[in-house]
Order: sequence, then structure tokens, then C-alpha cells
Amino acid sequence: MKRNSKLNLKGDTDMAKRTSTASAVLVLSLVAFGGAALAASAEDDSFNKVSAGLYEKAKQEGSVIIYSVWDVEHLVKITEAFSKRFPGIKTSYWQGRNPEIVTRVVIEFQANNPSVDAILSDNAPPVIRAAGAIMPYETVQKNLLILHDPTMPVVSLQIQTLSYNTKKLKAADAPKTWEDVANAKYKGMVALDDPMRAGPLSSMLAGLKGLWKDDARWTKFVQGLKALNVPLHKSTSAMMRLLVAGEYAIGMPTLLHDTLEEKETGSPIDYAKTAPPIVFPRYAGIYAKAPHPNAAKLLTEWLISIEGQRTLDAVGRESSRKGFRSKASIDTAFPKGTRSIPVEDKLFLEDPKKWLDTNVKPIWGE
Amino acid sequence: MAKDIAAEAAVNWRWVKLIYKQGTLIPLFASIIAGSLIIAPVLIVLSRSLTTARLGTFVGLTGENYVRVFTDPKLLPMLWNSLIYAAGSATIGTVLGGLLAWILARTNTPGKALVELMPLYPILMPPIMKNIAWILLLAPKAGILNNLLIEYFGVQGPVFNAFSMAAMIWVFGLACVPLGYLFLLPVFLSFDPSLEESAYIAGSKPIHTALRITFPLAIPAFLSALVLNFLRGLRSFETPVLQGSPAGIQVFVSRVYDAMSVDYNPGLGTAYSTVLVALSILVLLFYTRITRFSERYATITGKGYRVKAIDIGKWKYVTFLVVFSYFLVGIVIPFLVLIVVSLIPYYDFETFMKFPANMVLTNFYRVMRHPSFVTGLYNSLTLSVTIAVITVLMGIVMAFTMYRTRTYGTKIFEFIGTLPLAFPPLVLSLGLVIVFLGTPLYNTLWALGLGLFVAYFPYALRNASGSIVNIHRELDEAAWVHGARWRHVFFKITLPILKPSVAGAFFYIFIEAIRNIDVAVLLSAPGHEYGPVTLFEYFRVGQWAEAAAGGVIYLLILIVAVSVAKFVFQVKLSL
Amino acid sequence: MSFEFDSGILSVLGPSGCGKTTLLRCIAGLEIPDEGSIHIADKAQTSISKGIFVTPYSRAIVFVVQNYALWPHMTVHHNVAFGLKLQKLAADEIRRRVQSTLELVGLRDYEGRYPSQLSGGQQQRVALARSIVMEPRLILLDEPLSNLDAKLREEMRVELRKLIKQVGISAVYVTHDQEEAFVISDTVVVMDRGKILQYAPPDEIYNNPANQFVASFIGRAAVVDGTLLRVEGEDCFVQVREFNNATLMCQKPKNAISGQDCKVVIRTAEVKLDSGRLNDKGNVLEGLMLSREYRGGLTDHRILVGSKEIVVTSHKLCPMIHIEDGRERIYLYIEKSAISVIAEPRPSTPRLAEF
Repeated sequence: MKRNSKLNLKGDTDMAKRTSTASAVLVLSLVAFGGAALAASAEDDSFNKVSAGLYEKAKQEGSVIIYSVWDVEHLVKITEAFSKRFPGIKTSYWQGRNPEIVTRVVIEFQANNPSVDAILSDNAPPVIRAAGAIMPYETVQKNLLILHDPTMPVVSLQIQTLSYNTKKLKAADAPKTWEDVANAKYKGMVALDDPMRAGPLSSMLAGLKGLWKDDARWTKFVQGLKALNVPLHKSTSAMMRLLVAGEYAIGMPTLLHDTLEEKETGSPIDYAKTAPPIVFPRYAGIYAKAPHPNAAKLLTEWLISIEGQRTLDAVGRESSRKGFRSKASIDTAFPKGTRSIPVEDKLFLEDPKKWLDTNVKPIWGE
Repeated sequence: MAKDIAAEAAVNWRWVKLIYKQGTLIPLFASIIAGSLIIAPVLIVLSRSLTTARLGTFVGLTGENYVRVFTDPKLLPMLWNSLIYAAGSATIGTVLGGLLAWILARTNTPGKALVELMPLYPILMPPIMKNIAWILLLAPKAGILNNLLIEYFGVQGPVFNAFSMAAMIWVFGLACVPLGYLFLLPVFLSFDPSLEESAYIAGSKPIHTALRITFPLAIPAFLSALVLNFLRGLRSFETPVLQGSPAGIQVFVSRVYDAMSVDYNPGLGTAYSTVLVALSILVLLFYTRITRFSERYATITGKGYRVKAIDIGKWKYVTFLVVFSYFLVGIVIPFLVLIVVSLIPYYDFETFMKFPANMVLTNFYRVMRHPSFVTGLYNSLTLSVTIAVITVLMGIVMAFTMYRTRTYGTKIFEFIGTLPLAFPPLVLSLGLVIVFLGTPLYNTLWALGLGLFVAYFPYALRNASGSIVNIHRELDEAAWVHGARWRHVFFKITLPILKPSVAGAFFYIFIEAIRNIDVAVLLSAPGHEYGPVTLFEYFRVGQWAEAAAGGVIYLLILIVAVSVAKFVFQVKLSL
Repeated sequence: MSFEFDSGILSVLGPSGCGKTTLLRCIAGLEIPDEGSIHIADKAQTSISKGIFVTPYSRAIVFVVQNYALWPHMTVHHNVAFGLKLQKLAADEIRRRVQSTLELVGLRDYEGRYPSQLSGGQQQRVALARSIVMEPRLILLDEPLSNLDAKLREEMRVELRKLIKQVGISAVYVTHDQEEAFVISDTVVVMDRGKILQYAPPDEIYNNPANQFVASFIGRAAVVDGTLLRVEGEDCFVQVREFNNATLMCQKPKNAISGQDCKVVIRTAEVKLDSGRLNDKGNVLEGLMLSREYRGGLTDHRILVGSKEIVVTSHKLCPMIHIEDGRERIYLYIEKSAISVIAEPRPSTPRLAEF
């Protein structure tokens, strides 16, 4: 409403041309701040316009099949709300972890199997897209998104924060920025996500590398982390538990909605509001051989609509919509003017192993 | 006497006729069908390791994946870690399980009833929950034990470290105990005491008798359990991930996972798995070699005898200590920790010590409100029970084919039937998907059921082949000459005599199948709610407190179910 | 090897590991011989050359083994009724037959017990009842008494014979105990290393062993090499080198030819001992008493006759009680009926035909 600072990395006109190609360059629009209620209502019209047509076709198709990494609890509520809004479309879902989703979809794609319509996940869709198994679709509500990808609508976000245990560290002593963590004074207090596992820390590194565009600074940061010689975790949730338990004073990185949830239950956890959040897209990819493509498109558009975003917020998922006020949105959780850091490296998204081998492994080792 | 040509021809004919006439054609065919089902995904993934690259793209015949595996500089150090971890935990777990089984079956130890319900304990404590409980107990700074020692005993600094090889072996070793117990209990229960008594009369002490007479006869069952636990350890991922990686301990199987989930290269993942396959085959060769004189281990003979516990004198205090310590350390303490954790707002030592003043029930509400709490439970119960029954029966049929029919080459089933265990779940799962994809079975409950069958068959087979050799062949033959065909022998002799071990294996597979879906996850169809996917999701996503609450609720349900079975339907549950 | 057998009780006698059990298992159909055939009532059961194999469950032959092979999870009744149930007989019929058979073996009151609640002898009888109740064509018994103690064994063998005769089934009885074989059977086959050595009624085997092995196996006997000097009517005279060329008068073997080498089998249990030389028309040998071993009511005397040491068992109270070991002479009186002469080379017995 006040300052709608759009930060398009590529022009929107450019975009339209590129959508048809599957080469899918991730294009991001970042919003530092903004309520955009006006824009929202205007764009809601665009959703209403497209949804009527899609709903007609989707009703013919009759159902939509979802593969997702999200919790079953969330999927049940989301599909229920969708079915209620659009009667006549049966929903079903399968829940698996990212490697399971990639394996299943790629195998089914190679066997020409029309098994699924929409894939709701973070890491899996870009990899699946690299295998050619994604049907490019650009959402009509693209102008409203914090992160935009012309081939796969971003329906939610993964927001990484720098959290610390308040019993172990006073706010004043806590690191202020991501780079602070590499300071030798935190040796013995930090736990890191394993940077070689394509987990949150490697996304963060990919995001910072793209943001800084300064290899020396980035290398120094990674070397600093390495020099801490701290425990590496392959399980984000285990690291979070141990941070709460006081085994570690600082965990890097943690997810915003986990941190907020913990704070709510009274856990001694807080996060550095001065460290800009790293944002990673949660996509809704449409499968290249989707048997119900229109139903999948309708689901995708609905998820981005106000109503869909409210449903996501109700189950604790972060909004991907600019100016959408919710518990776990950047607008609410961070001070005005905070610039979030997008993860946009195409190689990292599509072939994380190669990216890690090229960039992190030479510094970090294995 | 020289054989003429006719005699030579008759020899070939003879085997065919013999198999047919003895009626063993049915178990043999059943074994071949089951064996093919099991070997199919294995062969498929193996062939893919030679033909596919990243994202499953077909690249023609290439050894590149293997070149990458064998030029990996960390191959040997990781393999070494895996071997120490798997061998250590399998040995601790199987020996302790076997010891508890012996104490229960053969001695007059007081309080041995504490371990009698062993088959039920794993449901309280899926392996990953054990890891969590022990991390909470042993974590250097936040761990309960270290804090208690520092606070109340004035110890300087942490004593235990949850993130170490020793702790990994300890925790997974405890997870190996039930299998050792289940496999060995039937052997000790069916043991002819005259074998032991003669040693007592000769002046041998009970413990010496156990070492010289009782334990050697339990070798096949012991090795069966040891082999299983070892293979489980080799491919186990939870403990190394949760307790190993913070300490920088990398195990071999993490290479497979990296290949599957960082590199997205199933071909490479499979190539790494073949190292595990080779290890499994070696281990099985060792097993078949040791147990090749199966008659030597026949403890169930046709001579009637009374099974009775033996008075071991003063030693019973020692054995009581063993039972009680296991009960306390293996079951009560970790479970109590989890219960408390599920009832407090969050865990740290300070909050933990305030319990029960700060008790909250939110985690329980959350579990009860889980959308698929009831339907998921029902689905998974029916499927798990069905799969457990079929798998156990087929395991016995295959063991019967191997050890009770005279067809040459049936020992190959030992290898085929155990191979699924050599593959990390996701790799095996991939093979299964490829098997079913394109058949009408794909995305049906059938495919899921068959997938679970393949995944759990090794347990059924190892159990059956370890215990069938304990039954003297004479019992079968007596039935043959009294007019029994294979089905009569199988259903009226073998199966009833094997009842205790059948029951044990059934419980084990049932509990594994109900809570662990890693192998079958790719086969569960969208829309078919299969319990474990939903309910044990908490374990997968690491929601400790909710998982503990779920465990408590399921324990309560189980207690009700067991009581109903026992008192309403008069089911005899003791093994 | 080959033999035929009509009816009654046939014992297969031989040392352990001689193939007796394998023979029984082949008859039962539990094992298949490398070659040859087995016929029952002129019908081939196993015939390698003709490609015939009748399954064990359709041969109507039952098998009683050493360890009884009672099914531990079934009561006595169910053990015995097992085979009948498989024949799908009426329940009444099964009950009647089970009960009458248990009556026969004297276990009528034990029907509801489990094998583990019975003594060894009782288990043995259950195993027998289980087989008899089938009314088989043939019952095979593999050392059925070897797990019983000595006293029970002696009782059971008499009882066993009575029982089998009473039921009227043919039986093949395998044992390594020659006494047991002689008591139980109508005919005895002596086997060694998979070959039949002799096939004859017990008394003929005892009195007229076909060869040295049979002779030494069936009872305590001294076997020495001899030369047949001459034949006089039904008698013959054999010179034994080892006995300082003493000459023994014996019953003439069939086909005896003077000057022929032969084996002389002396059944030592029938040898009488005395410390003095009596006037006796029979064979007398002089020997040196080496040592004596007292075994309850019996005494084993180790006596050196010529260059051969033989063991003679006699009742304790014998006249040579005062003889000093290793120094004094003793005399052995041997009836000609206690000696068998086996002419060499000896042709097979008439009933032993080459297969």
C-alpha cells in the first residue's frame, strides 16, 4: 500500500515470451514491504475470471490427484477446502518425501503413466522439471507473488531464519546477521544443517551466493562456518529439537514457522530479525502427462487466491502472496524494509549435487 | 554295476517324478513364484545400475556408476564405520535377546515375566523413537543423565555422548533385542531337558551346561537373528543420521541416500547398494555353511519329553539382574522419557524436571484430532495383519521347500528370500514400482500388499529357516508313511509344531508393517489411506512429542486389544 | 543285493552304518535307491529302470523309528488316529479302531495324554499302535527298542513279537543286536556294507554262518583258518595251524572237499573248560590261562591256545578257579556242534541270488 517496491529481476514482458519454453528460468519478484490490498482485490478478479472457465473444464475431468511432501494433516484440510469451494471435483493425494516424489514421478513419466496432476513441494518440482516431466503453466496471478516462476506457480514459501536459544544466549549476544554465525566466538554453540545434503543450509548458501555476487565474501563465510567445526545435522527437525533443548545455542538455519510455533508454546527460542530471511519457493507443478490438467490449474490458482492462502495460513503454511498478512509471513515477522533473499540458482534447483560439488565441496570437503 | 543308457535316462526322470509324487511340487512352485516376486525388483534395480544415469535417464550399458562407486575415496572408511556399527549392535542385541529368551524359557529366575511381553514392546518403541529417547538421555549438554550427574553427583562435565559410535551401537543394539528374543525363545522352549540333565548329572554347573549344551543347539536360530540384525544395521539410516552425522560419523548407506536424494541418480544409488548386496551374500554363505548339517540341530525330536525350567541356584539372582536391568534400561526409562516429553510444553532439562507441575495435553489432542487417526488405524491394521499372516506362511513354505523336500538347489532361496533386506528402502521401493508399473496392479492395494510382502519376507524366511531345522525330519517322515501328503505334513505337523516361532514372527512383521512404510511408500496409491503413511508420519517428520503421544495411545489400544483377545476370545498369547 | 520275503517277521541284522536303515527307508519310499527295484505283492513300488515310484503315503507301509517320532503337539489318541483321519474314515470307526489298538498295546487309559507325559516304553507302544492301527501291508521297525533300558528291552522284544503275530502283519525289523533279531524274527538277513551276507532262519544262521563275518557278528566266536584234512560220513577233520596244528572233528560243511582251506568258527559260549585233562572222545585243546574278567554271573577267560588268544565265557563257579593266571594250563572241550566249518571259497547260499 505504502511502498510497493517491485524488484523484478527480469521484465514481465520478457517473461511472457519465456513461459512457453520449458527452460524455465526462475524469475523472482521480491517485495520488501507492502499491504497491497488494492492490488489484491484487483487480482482476485483475475482469479475469479480464470477460475470460472477452469472449473467448467475441471468438472468434466472430475478429479485431481496430488503428490505432496506436505503433512497429511495439512493436505486433508487443503483438499477439503478445495472440494468445498469447487464441488464435483474429487481430490486424492499421496504423501512422500522429496526423493520419493522425484523417483515416483520420473519413473511414471518414463512409463508414460498418467498418474498425477499436481505436485506440491519445494525441492522436487525443479528436479522433475529438469527431467521434462512438468507441464509449464504460468499463473494469471503472477503479479501478486513474492517469488514467481513462469513454469510452476509458487503457492507457498519456505522461510529460513536465524534462531537461537534464549536461555543460552542473550539477544544482545546473539548473531545479528548470517555472517555473524561464522564468528569464532560462537564455536561450540552452533549446530549446522549439513551443507552437503541439499538441505536448508545449502539453499541458504545458494541464496547468499546469488545475492552477494561476491565469491571472496561467500568463500570466506563458508570457510568461517567450516572452521567452527560444529555438529552437522541431516534432520532439520532434530536440530530444532536440540536447539530448544539447549544442546545448542544457535541453529542454522531454522524455518520461520517452526520457530514461531515454538515461541508460541513457550520454548526458549527467538530469531534474529536483523538477519534477512532466505526464501525458497514451494511450488505447485503440473505433471506433463496430467490426466486432469485443468483441475490441476484450478487448484494451483485457488491456492494462490486469498481463499487458498487463508487455508494455507490456517494449517501454518507461509503465504507466497505479496502483502498477505499471516502469522508466518515476512511482513509480520520482520521489520519494515527487510529484504528477503531468494534462492534462484537454476543449477542448484535442478541439480543440487552438481552445484554442491562445484561450489561447496572444494571449500568444505565431504 | 555299470549303468546302461536306460538307467541314465531314468535318473533324469527320477527327480521330476519324485518331486511330483511327493507332492512337493506345490511348495516348490509356491517358493518359485514368491522367489520370482522377490528377485524381480532386485534384478530390475541391479540392471538399472548398469543402464541409467541421473533422473533415471537411459544411457545404454555402462559401468560408469560402478566406476564412481569404486573410485569413491570414502568408500572404505564409510564401509568400515558401517561394519563396526552393524556388527556391534547386531551382536549386542542378538546376544542379549537370546540370553533373555534362555532365562525366560529355561530358568527359574524370579520376575522373568517382565520380558514375557517382549514381542509387544517394539510397538512402543519404533527404532527412531528409541533414538530420540536416548538422545534426550545422553546428549552432552542437554541430556537428562549428564545433567543429573552434574547437578546431583557433582560430576564435572558430561559423561555420556549421544553423538558417538558407542551410543549408536547401544541404541541400535537395543532395537535388535526383540528379534534375537523372538527367534531364540521357541528353540529354548522346545528343548529336550534330558540333553541338559545328563550334563547336570555329570556335575556340570547350570551356566556351563548352558554354554556347552544349550547354546550350541540354538546356533541356527541365533545366526538367523544375527544375520537379520546385521543386515538391518547395514542399511539402517535413522541412527546414523540422528546420532552419527553430528559427530561426523558417516556410514556407507548415507552414500545411497545421497545418490537418491541429492544426486537424484537411482542408478548410482543402486550401484552403491550392490556393495551391501555382496556383503549380504557373504554373510548368508557363512550362515548356510555353519548350519549345513541341519540334523545336528534338531531339538524337537519324536521322543516325548517334558519341558521344564531348571533350578540354576544362586545364579538366578544374576539372571534376575539381567532381566530387571533390561526391563528398566531397554524399556521403562526411554519410554518414560518420551511420555514425559509428550506431556510438557517443550523439552529442556529444566522444564523436564518441573514435570508434572507443567503438564499439558496438547500433543494428545493433536494426535486424536489427526484426520486419519481412525481410518488410518483400521486400514493399516487389516493390511498389516493380512500381510503378516501371508508372509509368515510363505516363509515357512519356503523353508519347508529348502529343508524338507529333496529338490536340488533349493538353498538358493535362502539368498533370494533374504536379498530385499540388502537394499535401502528407497532403492527396493524403486524396483517394486518398476515391477508393478504398467500392470493393472499399480496403484492398488494389491501392489502395496505385495510390496510389503517383499519387504518383510526376509524376516519370515530367516525365522522359519532358523527354526524348521529344530524339528527332526522323522516327524515329517512318520506322517508321510501314515498317509500324509505335503499339505497334511505342512498344516498338521510342521505348522503346529512351529507355532511359537510363527507367532513371534507374525508379531514382529505385523508391528513392523503397521508402522514402517519406507519400503512401500512408492506403492501406496493416492486416495488409499494406508495407516502408517498418516499415523507414523510423526516419526518421519520428527515431531517427537506427537510421536510419543501417538505411541502412548497405541499402547493403550494394544492393551485393550490384547485383553479382549485374551479374555473374550480366549486366545492364548504366551508363546 | 536282492532278497524276497513272504510273510512273518524278517530281521535285518548288521553293524551300525551297514545300510540297514537305508534299506528300510527305500522300502518305505522315503529314499530312492541308485538303481534296482522294490516290489510288494508283485507290484513294483520303486523301479528305477521302469521309472516307477509309488509315494510313501500310498504304499500302505508304516515305519516305526528309533526315536518313536511321536508328534509332540498331539495326544496319544490324535497320534494314533492321524493316519485314519487322512483316510477319511467315519469318526466312529476311527474311535473304535484307535481304542482297540490302544487296548492291544495296553495303553487304553492313556488316550488323552501327550507323548511328553509317557515313559519311554509307553511312547514306544504308542508308536507301534499308531502304525498297527493303519492295518498296513508291512510294518518296518528301525531299532525300535534301542532307546529303552536293558530290562525293558528284553521284555519288549517278546511282547513285540507277540503283538505283531497277533495282528498278523508282516514286519521288517532292523537291529544291530543279534539276540533281539533271533528272539523276534522268523527270518534273519545279515548285512554288511550294503551287501547281504546271509539270509536264513535264526537257527541256521547261528549254526551255519555263511561266512566269517556272520559268524563273528552273531555271537561270541573264535574264527581261525584251517585246512580240511578228510571227510568221514557226516563229519570232517580240520587241522588248525594256529592251534599248534591240532585237529578238530567237526560237522561236514556242504560241498566239502579234502585238502581245501576253510574257516573254523568256534562258538565260545559252548566251550567247556576244565583244569584237568579228562578222558573225552570229543575235541580237546590245551591252552594257557592269561587272565580272567568277572562280569556279574559270568567270567571271561582269556586263554592262549597255540598262537591264538580266545575268550571263553563261563559261569563263575568253574572247576579251574584255582588256576594261576599266566602260568597254568587249561583244557577246552569243544563239541562238534559248537563248531562250524566254512569252506573257502564258499559259494553263495542258495537263497542269495545275484541281482
